[in-house]
This record gives sequence, C-alpha cells and structure tokens, in this order.
Amino acid sequence: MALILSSFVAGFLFGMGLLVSQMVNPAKVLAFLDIFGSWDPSLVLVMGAAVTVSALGYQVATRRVGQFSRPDLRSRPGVTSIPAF
Amino acid sequence: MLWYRTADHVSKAIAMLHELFYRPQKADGDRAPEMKSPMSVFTPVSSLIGGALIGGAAAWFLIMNGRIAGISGVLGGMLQPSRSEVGWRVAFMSGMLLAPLMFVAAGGAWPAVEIDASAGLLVIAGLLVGFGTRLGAGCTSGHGVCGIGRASPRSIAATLAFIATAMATVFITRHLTGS
Repeated sequence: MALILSSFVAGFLFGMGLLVSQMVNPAKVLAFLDIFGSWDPSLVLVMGAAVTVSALGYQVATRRVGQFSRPDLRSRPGVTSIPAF
Repeated sequence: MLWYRTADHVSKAIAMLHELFYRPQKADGDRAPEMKSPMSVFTPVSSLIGGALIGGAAAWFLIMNGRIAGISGVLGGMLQPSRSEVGWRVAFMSGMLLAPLMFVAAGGAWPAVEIDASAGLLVIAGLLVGFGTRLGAGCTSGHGVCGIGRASPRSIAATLAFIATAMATVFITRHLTGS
C-alpha cells in the first residue's frame, strides 16, 4: 500500500511538473528542438532544474542504501539497488 | 434513427473536447505566410518550477521506492506477467494523468496542447517512440532526468543521442522539406 501511495504521489508530482513547465505541449518541445527556427530554450531550464533536484535525491538515496541495505553494493560507488529500468 | 442521433452527439462531444484541448494559440487568423517555425515564448520561471517538480518526483520515487521514475519503463513494465509489478505502475501513471485533470477541476486553465499532425502520423510516431525507448532502455525521464542526475555515462550518451536525432529530424522536416 505504501508503494502504491508513494508511486501515485510521484506520478502526480511528475504530472504537475510537466503541466507547470508546459512540457505537455508538443509545440513547446518542438520549439526547443528547432534550433534553426525561433528557438525556445525553455526545455533546457526544465531539464536543468529536474536533473539538479533528481541528483540531490540520488545522493540521499545512495547514502541510505549504503547505510541500511544491500551490503554487496556498498563498495561500488554509483550503484544502488535499482535495476537499470 | 437513434444511432444517427447518438453518433451526432458523440461527434459534437468530440468537437467540444477538441476545441478545449487543441484550441489554436492565435485565433485571430493573422498568421505570417510562412509558419514553418511557429513562435514559442521562452518561459524561464515556469520551466524552472516545473523542472524542479519533475526532479522532485524522481527524487521522491528513488528515496521512497528505490526505483527510477522513467515513464517508458514504468509504462512498459505494466505488460509484465507478475501481479506485484503492475499495481504501483498503474498508481504512478494514474497520478500523472490525474494531475492536469485535478488542476483544471481546481479552477486552473486547460493547458495549451498544440499538435500539428494527423492521427495516423501520431500512431506511427507513438510506435516509434515506444520501440526506441525500449531499445534504448529509457526516455527523457529515465535517461535524461534520473540518469544524468546519477551521472550514468549510458544515460548521458542516450540523452545526447535522442536530442541530437530529434533536432536533426525537426531541421529536416521544418527547414529542408517543405511540409
């Protein structure tokens, strides 16, 4: 149940992020890709902010993994208990 | 002729939905003669806030569940035979799809969604995206947001590859060919 609820919250936050950043609009994404047209760099900032926060979260998550679980992964930096995808 | 009236209602409902979702940004019809590269307004503040929300979702998901918030992976995994893998995936996708609906229900404006392609083309494009993200083991969220966030060389390579390919595709379709 905790997994279901936290997954829902994650999806909800993700959806709100896409909505607020207007990345739900394909025209906005295409405008980023159109570097030889009227280029809209908005997606750069979306990615920048998202990667920054996600990297901070990764630091917290790996520290937890290192302390509490999967001793086999502790010695390998950059590896968590997460399967690739 | 009940079926005819029903079909009429359905088509009217679809037209209404279409107007809600796909209303053109400029309704004045005062368009420039060449619309190969339509104007798009740079929105730095909402981009940063939205991006932080997306990153926050990925961070939350990783810390709480130890999983990567990759949309293609979450969605694709629904086809797995094991029951325990399906529930949280449905919950994630439901949350994502409910977000804009709740935003609108709370009085927010419908987000602009401008799609300049036929239904058939969208189906083909969707199939290609699905095939490509499974082959490349991730998409913008999994490789881009989460992968770069944990400095994975594979994810950085994948992200650079699909952005470069997408830019090349847009260049060819918008500037080289006259469609």
